[in-house]
Amino acid sequence: MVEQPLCASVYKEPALISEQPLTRIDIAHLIRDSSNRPQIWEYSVNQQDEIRRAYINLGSYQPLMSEYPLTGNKHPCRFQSHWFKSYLWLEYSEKYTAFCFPCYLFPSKPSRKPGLDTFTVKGFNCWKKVNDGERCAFLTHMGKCPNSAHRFATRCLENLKNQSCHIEKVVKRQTTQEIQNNRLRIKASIDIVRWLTFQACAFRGHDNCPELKNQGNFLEMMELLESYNEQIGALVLGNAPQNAKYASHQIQKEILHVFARNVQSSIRHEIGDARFCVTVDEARDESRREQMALVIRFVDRSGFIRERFLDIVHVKDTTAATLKEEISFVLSHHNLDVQNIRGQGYDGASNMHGEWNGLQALFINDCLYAYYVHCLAHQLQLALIAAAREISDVHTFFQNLIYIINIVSASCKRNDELRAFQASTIEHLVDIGEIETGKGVNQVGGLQRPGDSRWSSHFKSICNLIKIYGATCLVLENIALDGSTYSQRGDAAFSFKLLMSFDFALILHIMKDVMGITDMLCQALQQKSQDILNAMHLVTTTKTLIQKLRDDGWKTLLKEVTSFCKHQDIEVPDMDACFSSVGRSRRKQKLVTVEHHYRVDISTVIIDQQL
Amino acid sequence: MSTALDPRNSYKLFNVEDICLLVDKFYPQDFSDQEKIHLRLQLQHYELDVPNHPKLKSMSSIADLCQGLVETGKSTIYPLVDRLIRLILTLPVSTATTERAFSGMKIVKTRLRNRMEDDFLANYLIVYIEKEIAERFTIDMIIDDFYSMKER
Repeated sequence: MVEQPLCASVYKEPALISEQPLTRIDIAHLIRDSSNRPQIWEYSVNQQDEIRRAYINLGSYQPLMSEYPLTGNKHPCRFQSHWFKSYLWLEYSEKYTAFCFPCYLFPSKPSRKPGLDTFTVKGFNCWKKVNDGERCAFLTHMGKCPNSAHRFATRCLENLKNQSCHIEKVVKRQTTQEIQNNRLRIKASIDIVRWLTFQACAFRGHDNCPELKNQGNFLEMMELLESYNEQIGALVLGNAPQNAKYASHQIQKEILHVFARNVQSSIRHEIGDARFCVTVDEARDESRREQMALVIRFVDRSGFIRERFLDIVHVKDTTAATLKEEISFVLSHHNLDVQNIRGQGYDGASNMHGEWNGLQALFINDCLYAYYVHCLAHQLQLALIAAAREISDVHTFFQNLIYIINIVSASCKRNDELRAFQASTIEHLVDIGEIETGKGVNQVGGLQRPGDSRWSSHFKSICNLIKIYGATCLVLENIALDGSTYSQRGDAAFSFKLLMSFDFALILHIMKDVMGITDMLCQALQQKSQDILNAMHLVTTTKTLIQKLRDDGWKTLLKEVTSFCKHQDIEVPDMDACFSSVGRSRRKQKLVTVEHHYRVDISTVIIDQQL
Repeated sequence: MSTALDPRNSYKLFNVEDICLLVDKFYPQDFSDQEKIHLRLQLQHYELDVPNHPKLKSMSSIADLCQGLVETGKSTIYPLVDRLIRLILTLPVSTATTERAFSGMKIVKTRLRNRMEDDFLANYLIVYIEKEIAERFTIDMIIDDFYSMKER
């Protein structure tokens, strides 16, 4: 297992080698489809073995379909998937033709004989000739004599796989002891790589010179292992031979690569020939590159719904055509057929769901039954935002909420003040026995700013405000009294007034109730194995709850708000005397829920339609 | 229409016609004409059998039902019904898993690690997110693959 310089292969290179510029081909991006890939002699001579090895690791390209398209004019026939089982070398391409895997990798010398390149260059599609008994086209291709072109190529393939028989290896056979030591060394490396990856740690710093005190996580960990285990300590790092340390960053990367390939192939294995659906989303990463994540959802053999993260790819732009190309590439790389897609889930951006040129339309062109489902969680968000924006009172409420939170949490000093007040109130309450103590129950929290894209943050921010209403009031009062500038005092006084108004308190409570209900739905939708029937059921229950709140939640709500106001010394308007103001609040409450109801209704209608 | 398969309230909503319509309309490629006739027959048996099965009686969701069918071996008796249920379960609900992947990406590719290559990021994320699969591999499997990757 000692690192060796790449040695020339023991096989005859094909005679036909055209002059090619020496470009390195990226092994990770080989084209798998047999009709589109370049011929092996088109690669540079030095890279041919590497390419062959990469193809061998990928295996022959055998896409499984329930039915293959018809070919032939007079007597249309189809390809049959069970041929794959009887002829392991067989490959099927997107152009509906069959190829031979070993003959492609190890093409024989070109000769004048016609038909020799059927299975390597042109592709075979005369399916009629397969069921011809003795004269079956596949058998003819394999040939009877043991030295036929096909059998020779198969032998070449076996030899390339079997590295230990290579002549160089035989000459320099290592002792078993050495091999064992090497295995132990690489085992340590593999374990460290795995551990670091699971903990999301970096492998190394940007500078790896040995004089540095901190050598990066990987090497430091290796040293730690060395200090604990003598057996390993005697082998790794300084004690390892120079050519088999297995600690360089290339090796680390290669190990990680092997892990990733194994994970992907076991996911592929899990999918089997089940129908699946693709969920795609893009986001920008830390270095502002657009990354697209591809998740496959399918039902495995024992009936569990699985959502597996298959790959993440960098995309140049986010047009539907580019995304489609990348997704198809990934799918075909994993031997997954576009025809087996039975659903697509996107977040509803226009490049995704566009009716004519959106990603979903492009996929439906390829596969008629790839039904598009708009992400329900995103839909709920949109409905809630619209509900909040379209009622002026609620809109003002949220504006005010953000304003107050900004003022209170603007500086560290104010935050500290807030925490101190809170701590003292909590202590007081614990003393008089009003609240219980427990782990993590009475934590001192700050105020959270609501963000538009994540609706549960609104809910949290409202809950927090209710919890620390008193402390917030105190802080604002303090600022209003002795803020350093006039504008500060003015701002604080204004927001204090807002906080003390009955309107604010009322909407605060209404929104808390409404959003408490929808938050449940929101959380449930994000669960890992959610199915569409369940989701629709949840939407219905949410609707019923809101309806109930609208019909007979008013009294309890009013009671709650009144007691809250009394507690916080907010003036409660007299319900009978100021009829107009109460009437307004009453109407407002109706509006919110009606509007909301309406929205949820619409979203369910949309879901129904999409089903 | 797919609500017709819902196991809630002891299969109250079960309706053979609706299910056959569903197949006709949405999944014509997955069922041949012959199979559609078979499906109708299977559904009739299924209607009488499954709601009375002690274990399958009280299923609360279609996902549980699918697992239950496999556990009790009913999926081999009603292969077409099983296929249909699987197809319905495959429909996506939310993109939460992809969003989760991105929050994983944020943890991995931080401000200090912003020079990471795309390939490396992809490999790292696959292993990081699908931990449970990566845990299963033995060291020897990895060593063998590592060995076959390059001439050493």
